[in-house]
Amino acid sequence: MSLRAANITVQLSEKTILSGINVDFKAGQLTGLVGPNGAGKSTLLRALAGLQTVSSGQVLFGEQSIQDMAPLNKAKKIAYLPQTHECHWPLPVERVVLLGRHPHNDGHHVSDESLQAVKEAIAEADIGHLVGRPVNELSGGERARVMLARALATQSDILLADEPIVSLDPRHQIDVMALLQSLARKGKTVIVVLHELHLAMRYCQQLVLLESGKNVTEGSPIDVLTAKNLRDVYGTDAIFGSHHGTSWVLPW
Amino acid sequence: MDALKSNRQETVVRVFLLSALIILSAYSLTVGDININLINSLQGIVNSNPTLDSIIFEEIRLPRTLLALLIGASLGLSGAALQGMVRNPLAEPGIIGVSSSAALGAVVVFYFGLASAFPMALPIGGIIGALLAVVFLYLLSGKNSSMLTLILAGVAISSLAAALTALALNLSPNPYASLEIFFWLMGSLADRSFTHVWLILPPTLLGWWLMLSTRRDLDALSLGEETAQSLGIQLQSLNKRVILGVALAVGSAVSVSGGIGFIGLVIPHLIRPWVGFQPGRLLLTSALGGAALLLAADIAVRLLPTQQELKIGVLTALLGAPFFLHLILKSKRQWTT
Repeated sequence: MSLRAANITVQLSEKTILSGINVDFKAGQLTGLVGPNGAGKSTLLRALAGLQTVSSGQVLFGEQSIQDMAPLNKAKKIAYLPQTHECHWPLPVERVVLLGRHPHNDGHHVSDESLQAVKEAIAEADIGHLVGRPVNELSGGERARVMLARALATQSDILLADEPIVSLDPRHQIDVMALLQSLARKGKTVIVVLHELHLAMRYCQQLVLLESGKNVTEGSPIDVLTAKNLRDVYGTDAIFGSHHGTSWVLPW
Repeated sequence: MDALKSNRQETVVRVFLLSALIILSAYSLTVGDININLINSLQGIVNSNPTLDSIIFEEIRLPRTLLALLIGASLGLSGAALQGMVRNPLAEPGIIGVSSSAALGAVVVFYFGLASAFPMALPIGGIIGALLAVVFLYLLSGKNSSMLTLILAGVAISSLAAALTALALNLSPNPYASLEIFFWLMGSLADRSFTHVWLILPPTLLGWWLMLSTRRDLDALSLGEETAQSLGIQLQSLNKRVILGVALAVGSAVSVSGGIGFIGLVIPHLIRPWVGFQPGRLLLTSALGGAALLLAADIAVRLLPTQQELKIGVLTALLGAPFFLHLILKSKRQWTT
């Protein structure tokens, strides 16, 4: 199922955070939202999740506005992973992952389907060795992967993740991006906010470049992450290359 | 992983608490200024042949025990629900101003001398005070208030109610009225009747139902408000159910017993590790724990060899305050390491 931002504008305290954003996020694609700090990436992601009230425009899930969707139904279709990985109680890892099944469960009874989803999410996020440990005792990177597993356990059509690899070591950054890419290839719509341009170039099928709340450009990574765009938007130079036919970029 | 399907620890603690409640209830029914025989009392009631034992049982011990169970459960449950809502183990029913407003409602009744003319005016005044606190809470914090605004509004209401209570004491028409108010504020379950039980039962049960209806949502709220919303939780509805539930249950409790502090703080904290730290699972077990602790405290004040019966609010505060300090020191250590 696709997700579409249709002319979204967000104003907070009379300041325009997003201005007339039009983007089609197709199913089966991993889309990266890139841009400098304060560009409006996280606000756009929150608006797509229905967590940010839009001043005008709408977010469409298929043909339906997400504002018209019942909260639990929306939660089944759209999983959201925020930038912060807060957990206020020392819950065991598997309990945190199980919370991703909240939209599917009616009570405290855990169905076989939910148990299976939790097991799969734990395996996909490579956190099997953390099961049983209180989440507040984990490192930032471990906790980030637990929260990713929580979002995966929902088994939603759409996954929105705000900087999911920011605190991970290089190996896990690559693993998580490969996982997100594989989820997209299975037909999900995956949208991630990223600052790691080299990984955005390598794994995303589509990039949306934002600056000051405006959509500068969108398209394939190679078309978006050009030397001119990086200089104009980020104010930085970049080195480009290719490894086994895969293009890479390194801000310089 | 299969532990997700069952929670043996939780079952063990619930069975333990239920057993404790049965034993404590049986003991509470028999012990006091005059110890009575439970079998003789029951025989007297069944055979419609009242004896001294059966009269004490029916008129004094049974309502007192039932009130201890109801009020203790309300305090434990409310503490657990509020701690889950604000995601802080230091929260307790007092933070939203309901306890002090209920106390103020009852004090106003004392002040105008309505308590002696119409005994039921006291709990009714308390419940009205608690409900007014909720109205003020929403007027002060607004419709789409943040958690911080709610808590600040609660603190303001609590302070105002405490100030007005002090004013009533200050301006009370005679020293006897001041003393009456003062003793009532210390909290007690002595000399209560079945009328009190019937009066607080409906709002108490409604409050319990409202709070228990939030148990799944409170679990999701562990991950923060934004994630909870993305999981389909309607935060405004959740907050309203908890606050109104606490107001009904604690307001009713305070209106009958006076001030009984710390149970809502201590019990959820003691039980939390036994339910895997899940705020939702904590609710029912905290209700059982609160009932057991208040009943035990009420038995203790009857047994302690003091010249006059110690007020139960004094005992719970004496036990609870050091525990609260322990919590603060523990939190301080966590923050500084």
